Amino acid sequence: MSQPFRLDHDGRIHRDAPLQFTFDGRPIDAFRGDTVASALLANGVALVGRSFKYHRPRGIVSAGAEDPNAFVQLGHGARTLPNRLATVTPATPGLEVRHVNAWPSLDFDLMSAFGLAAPFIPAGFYYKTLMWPRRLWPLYEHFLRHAAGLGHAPDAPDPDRYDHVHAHCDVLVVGAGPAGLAAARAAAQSGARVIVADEQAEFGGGLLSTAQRVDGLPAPQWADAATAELSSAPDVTVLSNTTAFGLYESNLVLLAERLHSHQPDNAGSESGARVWRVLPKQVVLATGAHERPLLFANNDRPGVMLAGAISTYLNRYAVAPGSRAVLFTNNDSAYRTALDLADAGVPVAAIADVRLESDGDLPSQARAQGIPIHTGAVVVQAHGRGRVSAAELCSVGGAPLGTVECDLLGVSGGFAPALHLHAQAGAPMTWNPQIAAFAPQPSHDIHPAGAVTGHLDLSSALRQGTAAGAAAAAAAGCSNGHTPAAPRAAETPSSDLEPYWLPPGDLARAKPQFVDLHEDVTLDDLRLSLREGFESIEHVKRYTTLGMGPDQGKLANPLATGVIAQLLGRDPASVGTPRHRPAYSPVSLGAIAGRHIGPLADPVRVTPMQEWHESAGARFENVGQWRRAWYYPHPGESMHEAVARECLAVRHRVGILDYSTLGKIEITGPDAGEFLDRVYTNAWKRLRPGRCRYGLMLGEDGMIFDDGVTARLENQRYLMFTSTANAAPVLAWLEQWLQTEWTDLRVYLTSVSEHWSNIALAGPRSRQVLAAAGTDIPLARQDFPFMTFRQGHVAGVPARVFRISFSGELSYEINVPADRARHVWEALFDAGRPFGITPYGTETMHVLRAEKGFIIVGQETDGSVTPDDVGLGRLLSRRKDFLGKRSLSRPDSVRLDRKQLVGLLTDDPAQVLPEGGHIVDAPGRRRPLPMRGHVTSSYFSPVLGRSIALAMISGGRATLGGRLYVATLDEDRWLPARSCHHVFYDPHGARQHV
Amino acid sequence: MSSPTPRRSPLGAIESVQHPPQEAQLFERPFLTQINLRLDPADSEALAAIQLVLGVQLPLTPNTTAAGQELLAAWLGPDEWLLLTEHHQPDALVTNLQAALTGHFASVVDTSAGQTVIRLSGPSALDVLARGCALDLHPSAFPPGACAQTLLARAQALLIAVDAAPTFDIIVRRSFAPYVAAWLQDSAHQFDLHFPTSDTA
Repeated sequence: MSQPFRLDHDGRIHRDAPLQFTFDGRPIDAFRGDTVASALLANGVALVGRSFKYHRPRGIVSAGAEDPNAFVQLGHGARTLPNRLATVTPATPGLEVRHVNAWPSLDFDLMSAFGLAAPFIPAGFYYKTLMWPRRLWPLYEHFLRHAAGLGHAPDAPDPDRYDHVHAHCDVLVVGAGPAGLAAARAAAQSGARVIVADEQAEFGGGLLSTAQRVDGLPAPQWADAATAELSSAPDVTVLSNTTAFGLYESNLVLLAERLHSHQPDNAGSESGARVWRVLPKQVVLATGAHERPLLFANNDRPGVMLAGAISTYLNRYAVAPGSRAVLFTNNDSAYRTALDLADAGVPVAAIADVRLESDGDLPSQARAQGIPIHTGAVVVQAHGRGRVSAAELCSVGGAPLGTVECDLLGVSGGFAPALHLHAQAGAPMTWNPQIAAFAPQPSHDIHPAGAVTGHLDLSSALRQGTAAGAAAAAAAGCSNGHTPAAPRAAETPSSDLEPYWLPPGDLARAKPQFVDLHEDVTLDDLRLSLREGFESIEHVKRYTTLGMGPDQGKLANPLATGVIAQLLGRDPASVGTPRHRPAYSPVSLGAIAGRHIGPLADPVRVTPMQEWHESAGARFENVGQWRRAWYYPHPGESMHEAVARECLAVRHRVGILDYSTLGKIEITGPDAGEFLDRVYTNAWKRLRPGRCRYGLMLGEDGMIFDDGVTARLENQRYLMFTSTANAAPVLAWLEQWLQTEWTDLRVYLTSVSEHWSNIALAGPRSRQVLAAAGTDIPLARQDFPFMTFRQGHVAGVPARVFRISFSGELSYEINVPADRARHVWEALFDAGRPFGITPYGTETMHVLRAEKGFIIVGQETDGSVTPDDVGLGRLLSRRKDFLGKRSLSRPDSVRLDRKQLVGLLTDDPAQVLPEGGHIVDAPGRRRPLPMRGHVTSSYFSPVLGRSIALAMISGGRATLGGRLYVATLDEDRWLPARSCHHVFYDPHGARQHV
Repeated sequence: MSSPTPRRSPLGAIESVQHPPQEAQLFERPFLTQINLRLDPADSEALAAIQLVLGVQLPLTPNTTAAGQELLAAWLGPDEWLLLTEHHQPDALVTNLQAALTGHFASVVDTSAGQTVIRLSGPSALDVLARGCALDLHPSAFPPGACAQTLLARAQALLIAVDAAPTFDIIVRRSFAPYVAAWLQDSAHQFDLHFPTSDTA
């Protein structure tokens, strides 16, 4: 007979829909409507896991997200998911559930030997002990990793689909218990766009486990009706199985919606989870409250549960979590559980009530049923190993009251508001002595309602929810004159709780008493922390790991506040609570990544010639988001051979380069020349239309920010080229100056980077190729000289052609509209065949420019390099001001020992220096070894038949020809070189002027 | 002037063989003329001259569009608009606009080849876009005629609400188009929307 603890009547489970899942391979019978936890309890499974540090047996404590013990592993292989809570995971057919934290098995756990050693491994043990000797750390780590399991990661890529959705609404209601449902209804009735989310599979929260009535209906029935009403409302989004896990600035709320994960028949078809990024105008927090546990020895034994959870299992799931119960409380609510147990036929052997009197309505009913009630009494110890077998009672004065046999020990230390989201938002909270807990204060856009405010009874939850929903809708600007009426429920007066933190007298010394069950933090650990001077609750947290588990200390932190206050003799309000941070409960990494995976991880930008490059066999390199042709190896060619062939083709014949990725900005207006004068270091106003000029752009600190050629297209129209990587930053920089400082300048900027593709022909035969491809532009040297621009047609397509050169060869950069660029590229390539045209990629481009000593911003420069540092001081105009000019006269900018650009020639011409290699005057092992500089670019130059390098060397220009040594990763191997002028090839630029 | 060379769109359409599949819910609208226009909105003479050329008044309300018989003008900034049309060739329109604006401080720049338009239409369009766009596109906040420059997934885009179907035009830069198309296809996966494949290149 399965499910021996299942009651034979009532509950919200669907008895006509039985199902089976497995726990550690054992079949578990359940019904639709069960959670994994309720099904395990129905089957008498008391032990669900082992604790994190001592590997003590642990059972289910709660019926919600606050459980510190019920973490399980779902599924297997690629689709497995660790750190799921059995208490909020719906039981589904075929679900695979496994314990975490026990090895080799749950029942026989070798690691539980840690429990025996507990006195020797208090808080801080790892920090203090495993630090030394350092060389043993790998051994420690191996052992610790094995011991400190928190489940395991998937062993292959997850085939499930994870998704992100942005959503907007007037009112977001978090929690769909009585207050949340009432709030959502009120807001919807006011005409607001509403999103309401609840972490459980069914809406209703506490309504689903109470015998009370709402508006004359049994509470669960009212919850169903309210949910149905919301689901059919047009502008209401209803999200179950959805946890609001973070509340950020501007009330951005992140929700994790768990979809059909971990059903075996569902792999890959539907989403595993969906993260909602909701930007509501107003938030109603109806997040409820968590019952607080109580301290006594062995308070972690399976069978020790929160009293309210026992009621939930009885009423909602028709499960009796034990067969004989003892209750331990400091407030009236556990009496409700006693009555629920009695109703279900589970004998209640004793109620220990901290208070000296208990004469409220519920205690009176319990007394009338003949349940033994001990006032002024506490439980001081739980007996039993794998499961609680008895509770030892004492008077609050410490006098023994005997031992009562039980297999279920319900505890209630009062209720602490679940104000996590509220606190994450930084909204104010105050200590409420009535409930001995922190409670949230409403703010202008966050409205707490229901148990989260500290008011626990149903009628006030419904009233507060209705008021909060209406107020939130009104604050969001939605008001249709309709004043929603609050649903009615009977008032249930209850007497005050009596705060209870530490067992009386020496009993507070009994071991072990767990404050944080997940992290195995005991009362002794808190004492040790305080004794060592870590008194702030944030220090206690870090010293002991209090609240650091995946449960985020939902049960532990409210208890710890009171315990620490009593140990220090301070007011709990001054002790405070550790900072609440997202995520409220664990969210899978897959959900956080969403669809930003694989090919969608980041945009891959390609030029119109991409397919041509691919069919030509190009290898590609990523330049930011761009994919650029790197080199074009022939079959069997190495990269080195291909690049050498491409370099020589450009130097001796002609090469063709796709340079479309360069940034291009059209600068228009009567003040365009003045504007260029201010942003570039050199003079621009006298540049004649049709001519081009190279410019350097500095930051306000005087350091090189970008460089490139700008052409004057017409009298009031310029085209600026920027480096590929800086296309967007340069435009933003220029717009910033125009919009914020130079509002008097009549200049407009328009990015045309993508409209114009740029095809570079380079090499002594490029003029013949351009002519052969067909152009109406006169190409003779005197008609179209170096550093000029002409407009016309190339291969029948309107083109802007620039005689500029990044290779030092005769070169034309041909700009054509991107939608015809492929045609022009092919026409040029076909026309170039008789001339030996060779496509070349970015690697060859880099070698050619390094031979010429041309810098690349970001390679030779690093944000701390001035124009003079790279030998471009001649571009600094003395006759005008420009951005960064004043910084160039700072003492630091004119130091004689600044790093300066030089060339390096290795003693061994075949030796290519490592880029980034550090440079010293004399090698050696002494430390510190004074550094002269570093290698910025390094290649084998095919045209020179030897290696070349560019370097930034302290005071480099004054010591040209000096011997230097470049470090390698082998600290005994140094590469000797001599410094030289940084232009290696054609130093007078004759080749580009032909 | 129209060149005999067929144009190619970033999503593979070739001008001469293009048959826009009008009934589809997700397709590229290639080869539209797209002109970036900048002028001072206080220059009423320039605004009037522009209206004569375009047949539509430039929208001065932020994030709105103005649609004429042959052309749509989208507000991009206080002094910046995008003109979209399939009825005028880029060169001719640029020439006409520049002529109309002679003597005024203004900028007319052809960006037709630099960006493309993807049209998304139908009941699931909002759900598809919500997966990558942080803006509120609900008709109460983004009615037909609205436009916004924003991020769609990880690419910049100009969104235009065309009609209440709802239909959106998504204007993206050329090099981002393959990424945006792949993202839209992926986002639309659960709604059974696909880019037509048969009648493009």
